Amino acid sequence: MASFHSIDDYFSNIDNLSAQYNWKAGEKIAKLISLVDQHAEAAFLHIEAYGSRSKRCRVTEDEIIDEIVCLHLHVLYNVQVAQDFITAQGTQIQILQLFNKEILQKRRGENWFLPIFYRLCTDLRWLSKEAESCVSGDDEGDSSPNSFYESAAKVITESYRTCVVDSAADTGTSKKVAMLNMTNQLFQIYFQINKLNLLKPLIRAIDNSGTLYNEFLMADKVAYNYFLGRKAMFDADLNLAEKSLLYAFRNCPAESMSNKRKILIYLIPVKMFLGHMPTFALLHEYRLDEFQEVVAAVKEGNLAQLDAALANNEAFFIKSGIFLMLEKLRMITFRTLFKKVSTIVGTAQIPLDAFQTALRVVGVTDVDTDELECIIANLIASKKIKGYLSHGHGKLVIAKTNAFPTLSGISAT
Amino acid sequence: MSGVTIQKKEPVKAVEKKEIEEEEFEEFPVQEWPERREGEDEEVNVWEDNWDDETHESEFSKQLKEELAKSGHQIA
Repeated sequence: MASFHSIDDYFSNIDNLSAQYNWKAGEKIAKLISLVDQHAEAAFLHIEAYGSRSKRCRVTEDEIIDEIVCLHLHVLYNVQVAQDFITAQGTQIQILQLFNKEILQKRRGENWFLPIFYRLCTDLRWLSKEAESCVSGDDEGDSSPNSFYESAAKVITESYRTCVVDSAADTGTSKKVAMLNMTNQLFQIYFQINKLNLLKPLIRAIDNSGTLYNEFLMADKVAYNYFLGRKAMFDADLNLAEKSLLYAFRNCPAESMSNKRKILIYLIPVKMFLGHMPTFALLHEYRLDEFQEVVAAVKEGNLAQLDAALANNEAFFIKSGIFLMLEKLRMITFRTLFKKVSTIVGTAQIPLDAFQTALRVVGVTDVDTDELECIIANLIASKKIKGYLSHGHGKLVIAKTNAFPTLSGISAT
Repeated sequence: MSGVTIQKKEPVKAVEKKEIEEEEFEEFPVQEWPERREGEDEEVNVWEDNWDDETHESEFSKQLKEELAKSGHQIA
């Protein structure tokens, strides 16, 4: 996008584009009302309350676009000059309300302006984050926590409702195609304020979207599957998590390396839990060497090494929100350690003492016989060991064949 | 007074902003591309399923065997 010489120059660009009524023009206008485009830096566009000036130029004949652009300049002024993110966030909300009321609700049989709306929502999220951090710095804020995120979610939800009831028969011009992008916007807000339960009806609506699903943009589909996979992981629905994150990983373009890396951060623990270990080459390629030691420990059945690996990279794993998930890998690690013991001992009746010895080798000293039996009982219940505990004899009696099935085989059924 | 507060706040905020941006899923430069179905992965053999077979004995397995023998357990 070329930079502008003057405000007239900027206005006339918008004027030309808003007379074209097509998606491509919508995408271009989206850049021109964005807070991250080059034009946002131009000082001659940082104008407070431009819309209420008596002597001002009209941006374009379209009154609503005209009003939106004026408000956008007010946002730019507040971000760049006044650094008042609270006012900027409030003004951005005003823009979205106006867009919903005057464009989404009134202009039937067209949807070329949706890219503009997507951009306004994305910028609103950023402004909400900034406004939130201004307030959280104060000692006693009047507003309740997350009120900026809440107000952002409210206006996006209202617009979502407008779009889903669009009755246009032609999916090519239907506003319903905005559903997925808006769901993604809300996903990101609800992740921030920990209200993922509010997404349930939105996810159901996407599940039931039928042929409309084919009309969604790949960029939105990949992002949606990434968010859905993360949510499924927290809900302990590992099969859905694996399916969604694999879709996102497979379909994320190789150029978007940092997104592929973000997908892997969640996909790796899920895959490991299901018995599929990432290769060292994969971890290295995506600069995820923090996982190397964890993977080595789980494969080896070495609990001491696993605990050390988790402790060494604790900050990274906690920041990524996967620490608790990785801790659950202890269960698989116990299984692999016990499998090794059974191979070494070579009988179907293994004394529990042998497991205690093995645990001492890997530095686990706080597991008494009761707890050991409990761990083994859990492994049997989750089909990771075929056998039974003989409490009276202090032994684990394992099946003659395939007593420790491969993990990837268990999860497939 | 207020000048002092702003000076204090600014560097902290710059760091926070960077971290948040790092966290967020980035926008894609293009919006549409061909969909890859299951099995059409670009990267293959990145997940190992047979990591569990003990065809070669690791250092750790050797150590385990020694300790079990020392404790008087039967060794196959």
